[in-house]
Amino acid sequence: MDRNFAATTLSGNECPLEAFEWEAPVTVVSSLAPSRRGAESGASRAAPMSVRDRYIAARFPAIARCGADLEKVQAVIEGARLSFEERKTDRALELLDLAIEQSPFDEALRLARLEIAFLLRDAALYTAHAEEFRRVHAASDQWLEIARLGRAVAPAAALFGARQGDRAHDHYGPWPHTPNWIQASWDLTQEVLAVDYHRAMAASAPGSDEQAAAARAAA
Amino acid sequence: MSDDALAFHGAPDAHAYMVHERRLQVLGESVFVATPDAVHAEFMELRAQVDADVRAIKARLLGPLPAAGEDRKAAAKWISTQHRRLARVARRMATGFARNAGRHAHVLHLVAMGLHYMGESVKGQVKDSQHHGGLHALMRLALASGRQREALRLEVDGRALDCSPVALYFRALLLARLAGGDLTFAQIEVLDAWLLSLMPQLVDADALSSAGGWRADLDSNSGLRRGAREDAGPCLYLPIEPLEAARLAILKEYHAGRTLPRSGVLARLPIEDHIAVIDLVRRGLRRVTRQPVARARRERIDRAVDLHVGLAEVMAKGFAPAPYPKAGRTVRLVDVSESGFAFEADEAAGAAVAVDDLVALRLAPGAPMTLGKVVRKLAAADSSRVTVGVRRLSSLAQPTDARRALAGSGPAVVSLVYVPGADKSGRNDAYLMSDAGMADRVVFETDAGASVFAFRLNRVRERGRGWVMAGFEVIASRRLPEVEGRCSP
Repeated sequence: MDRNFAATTLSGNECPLEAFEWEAPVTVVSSLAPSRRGAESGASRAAPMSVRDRYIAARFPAIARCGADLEKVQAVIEGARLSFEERKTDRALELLDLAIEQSPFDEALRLARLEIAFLLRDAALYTAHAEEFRRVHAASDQWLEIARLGRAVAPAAALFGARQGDRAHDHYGPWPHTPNWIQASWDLTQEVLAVDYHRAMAASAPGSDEQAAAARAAA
Repeated sequence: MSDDALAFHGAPDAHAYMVHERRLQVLGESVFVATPDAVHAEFMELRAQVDADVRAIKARLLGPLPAAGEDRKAAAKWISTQHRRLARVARRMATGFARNAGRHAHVLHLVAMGLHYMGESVKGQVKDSQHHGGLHALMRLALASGRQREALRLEVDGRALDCSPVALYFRALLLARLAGGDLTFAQIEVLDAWLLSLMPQLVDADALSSAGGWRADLDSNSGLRRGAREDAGPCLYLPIEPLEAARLAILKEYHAGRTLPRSGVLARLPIEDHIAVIDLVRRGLRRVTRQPVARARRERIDRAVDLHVGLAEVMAKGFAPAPYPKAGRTVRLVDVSESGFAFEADEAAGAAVAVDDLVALRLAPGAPMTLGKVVRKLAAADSSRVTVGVRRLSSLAQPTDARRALAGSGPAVVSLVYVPGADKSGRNDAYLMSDAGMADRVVFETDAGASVFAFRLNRVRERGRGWVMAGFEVIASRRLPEVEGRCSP
């Protein structure tokens, strides 16, 4: 074997050799629960933000351009709800997870995440997030609602207490009312407008009946 | 190993590789005549030199100064060719030594080498690398020795990799399963870096767990399949739980502001490349646990069609009235279904198309323009033609313009493509536009019928290179005054 071969063939290359690196084996999934001590010390924010910001901007265009945008709680919850409505539940939950990392003590974000977990009928996820909520917001008056939903979605979980008698305002269906923590609009105006717009654009599409009639009239 | 057809800038010296070619041929023959130590040593020297050249080429391909498209393609094909050849030699040597009792000392190492290079060659995304008979044959050798989980240390890309034969086997199958034409060269390297970091998790199981998993049929030519094997044939199972746990752990790294790998050329790739891999892995793992969706019926056809590529070209030419302006790029449509279509392209047309591109064509003469997103691109091993898979976005799209409702820093009027959703409620309607247009949540106005509608883009449904398909909310409307100029058709 010609020992000079490598030098001969590589000397013409313009870039120095650079090892392709891989990391140590990933064996542990970090806990869902944040550490209050870590959050208070700004541990998550101390991470190199440029990669995180770029990730957030690329992952959630039109919702956030950087991590700081995730502090706009209303926009985040709206974005998560829209993703959830389009069945992109991973995207919705990831957005809320990131926003909670950004604002660990914002109650509204955690409540929205709980409601999505409830709507997914995911008992394990709901219970995990409820436990986390309990730790972070021990005195929250929303716990009664969380427990009420928890007893429906995860009846075996001791966290939510024993099943209680029906309340006067509970409905008679198999599932309780949801509290609308995902802030869905009660106003149907936009839905009506969307139908109007869809219909108007369909009528103006080439080949539509309306366009054909207009062409006949012009002729 | 020289190949004139694969000449590219920075290619290793052709003469030196002719020497390699002869050595490879001799290696294949000398398994039965030379001492195993000599043959093994020769192979290791050869692979060290090939690896060094491949690393140099990859560093250039993934570096900040992108190579020309043709150059990049030729270099990637050259790499894939070398890896396929090394894999074949390693397999032949391992098989030969395994047959000869008393010469087992190098078998496991050669099996590992063969599995490693088969994994590397899968990354070339050529059609014949999706046939896995050789991979299964090597795994059967490891299983026969009972050492498939034995810890090994290989030098890969200049670093020591702790692995096992079964982990290398599953890594190759996962690369084929997850990245079969869906990823770019750089994205596949990111995926592979993740898989190499997951070697301890890539362990076989005797049976399928309740959470599900993949299986590899050792007596077949196919890749990973879902679910349990129904007949008594030999197979290995790959459980899904460790992979899902690893996926979540990797996602957490990005949330914390760290790429994986954390440094090197892959860490410096655009974040979108990493996100493409994250999404691909998530989809791949989801498919294991969900009920399979019935595939839309495909209709085989053979028709030459004009192909538009990219949002600018689609908007400039795609919606023009007959006689339709030509894009100057003819491809051959090979099948069509409700959800998409596939076409074959020659080298020039194929080079213009990449995964995630927006494309448009008329499925039949006079038919409306059908828009789609490229989701797969596979090269033929023995020719320069490529097969491209496209997911259909819409055949009812129409161009329109929108005005900014309030003066701002952006253009006063933007050109969009309205993409109606299947639902008459309008909730699935969207606009195709340049990705730069998503920067602000401004209110636009557009005319439709006898009304002006005000809307705001509020989420991205699809995206690709230079384009997004955005959902929107209509927030107001008013009757269009007769005297006011109209903006949209």
